[in-house]
Amino acid sequence: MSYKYQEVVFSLLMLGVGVFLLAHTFSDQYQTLLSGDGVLSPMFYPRVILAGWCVLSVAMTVQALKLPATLVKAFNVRQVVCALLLMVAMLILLACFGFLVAAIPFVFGFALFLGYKNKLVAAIAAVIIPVLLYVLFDKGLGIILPAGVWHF
Amino acid sequence: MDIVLATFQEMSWVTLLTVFLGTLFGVILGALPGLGSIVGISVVIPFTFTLDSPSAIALLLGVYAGSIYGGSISSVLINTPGTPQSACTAFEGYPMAQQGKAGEAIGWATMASVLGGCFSCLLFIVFAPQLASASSKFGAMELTALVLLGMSSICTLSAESKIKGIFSGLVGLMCAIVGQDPMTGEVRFTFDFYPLMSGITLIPIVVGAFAIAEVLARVDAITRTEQTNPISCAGMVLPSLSQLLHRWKILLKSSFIGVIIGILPGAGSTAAAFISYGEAKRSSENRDNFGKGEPDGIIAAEASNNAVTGGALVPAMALGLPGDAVTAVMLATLILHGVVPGVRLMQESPTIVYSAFITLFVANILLIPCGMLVMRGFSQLLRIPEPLFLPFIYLICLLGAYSSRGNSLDFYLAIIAGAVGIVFRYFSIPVAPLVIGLVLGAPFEYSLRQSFIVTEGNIMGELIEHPIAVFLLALTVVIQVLPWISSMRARHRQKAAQKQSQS
Repeated sequence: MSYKYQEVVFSLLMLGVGVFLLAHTFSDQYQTLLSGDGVLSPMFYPRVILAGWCVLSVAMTVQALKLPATLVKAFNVRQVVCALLLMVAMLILLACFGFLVAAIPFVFGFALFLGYKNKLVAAIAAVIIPVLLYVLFDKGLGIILPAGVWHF
Repeated sequence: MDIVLATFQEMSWVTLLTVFLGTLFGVILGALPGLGSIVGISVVIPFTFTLDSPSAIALLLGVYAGSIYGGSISSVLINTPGTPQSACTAFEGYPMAQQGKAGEAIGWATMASVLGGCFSCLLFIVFAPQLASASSKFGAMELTALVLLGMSSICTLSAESKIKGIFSGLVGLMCAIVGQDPMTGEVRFTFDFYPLMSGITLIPIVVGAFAIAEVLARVDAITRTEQTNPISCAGMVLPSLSQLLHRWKILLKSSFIGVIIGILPGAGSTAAAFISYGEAKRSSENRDNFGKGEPDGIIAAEASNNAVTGGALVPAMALGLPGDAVTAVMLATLILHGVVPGVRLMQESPTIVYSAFITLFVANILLIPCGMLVMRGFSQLLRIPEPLFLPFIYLICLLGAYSSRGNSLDFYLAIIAGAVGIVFRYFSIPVAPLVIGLVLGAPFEYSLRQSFIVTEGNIMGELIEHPIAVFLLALTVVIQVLPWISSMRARHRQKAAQKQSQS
């Protein structure tokens, strides 16, 4: 897909999000006794912002349609998505096993994913970096890090 | 003036040592992404119990001033703002570092921070009672007008595409709405997800949208085997006196912006940095160079964010009104030491107030040696191979996002902000307006609704009775319209010149 159509799709997606949120402001959960009328309503200001959001999304779509179809931007989508998935996987491990256990395989795996060849150095760094950060934050600054359900 | 001199003479070596250690600790913390003033001050509070009042105040103020400046070091060297206030410094500092001028960039950031901070201290030593009185004249309508002036910098920061920039600002404003409505307590846009009731805070968003997005951008560059200039930094290069004097206007203007924003409760150094940067981008002689490594941008952001430190003390000590979480924690510590901030403090114990400003002045001067020390250590990190450095940065960012309130939700907010940041980068949507919207959204909505309540819906009718608000609104219009008029005139002149040359 050329960059032009990517930007059109993105702008339309933003328009969809804006319309959905704007419709949400009229849902029953906000029609309570606490809600004032008109400008005093807690939903007045969000509706103004979301109306602007929708208008600007349309403007961005029109702007995108005017782009040349041959425009191309170099971007390695697959690798960036993989990196994001690795980051999310680390968070899932963190919730179960705590920071130390989650961070060690993450650092090792991320370094290899980025093409680092020396596995021994990567393994050593994968232990040193999380331990250093754990000592700095948990012991040094007194910020208790997640320990997971196994209390590591 | 006698009080000031007497206070200065009473400063003991313990107080001076404490302010140095506090400043050094603050600079180190500020350089680590996500950590900053509030974490630093919270950590040192227990140490203040072993110190006398002047030394306790010195420790807190040293950490405060140091942490605000410290963020500029990581902004310049690794394009990762250490604190939200330093995000604008990254826009100019990192391109300078890529051109081999990392030392100069940090030198500009250091001198701007020192001069901005010292300027605000000197101003307040002389004018503290008058400025305290001025800050109490700001009501709901004046605050609304001021915040609107601040948000108009969104347009300046999105000169390349105003539509995309304003859209980004609106996304930030929407993020600020999520959570409990401050007036009625109603929960908005949480979709029954309980952790979102406390809202979306600034630090995870800034860390994600700038730092994690930068990590992802580096992943993209590495995997496309794109050649990049490695960043190296031999040492801090301070600008010469003539270089500083050449830029005195922007230094002075940015310091004033920081002072004005600092004395108003609710505003903060992040807003000051962005507003000042936007104004510099609009008015600088070198505005075409912005985004490519322009020192004016660094000066504007750093001078204003450090000038806020002195300003924030005025409502805190003179009126007992903390401007932000940092000054709130500082006030609580002062009360524990038997110093009760408020209107009577200036009258009954002026030496305490002046001691605070003098200590802050000294802390700002100490930014130079502390910055040199921290920068040397930080630049060693640049030698780590990138495949090992990037996961290290990612982990620090995550922990920094988590440390602000200890809420696991902030891990996910940071990652989502990172994904949004990289998508915005790809589609050339500026991220800075999103941060401005998030910072100023809540105070804007609150003061706007207060204005409606106070005027019983008749804001326009009552506006004439608020000359400060009228002035600020007029200034907002003039600042936005003037560049447009200038460019129309320039185009008209160009067309006339073309016609003349053809005939």
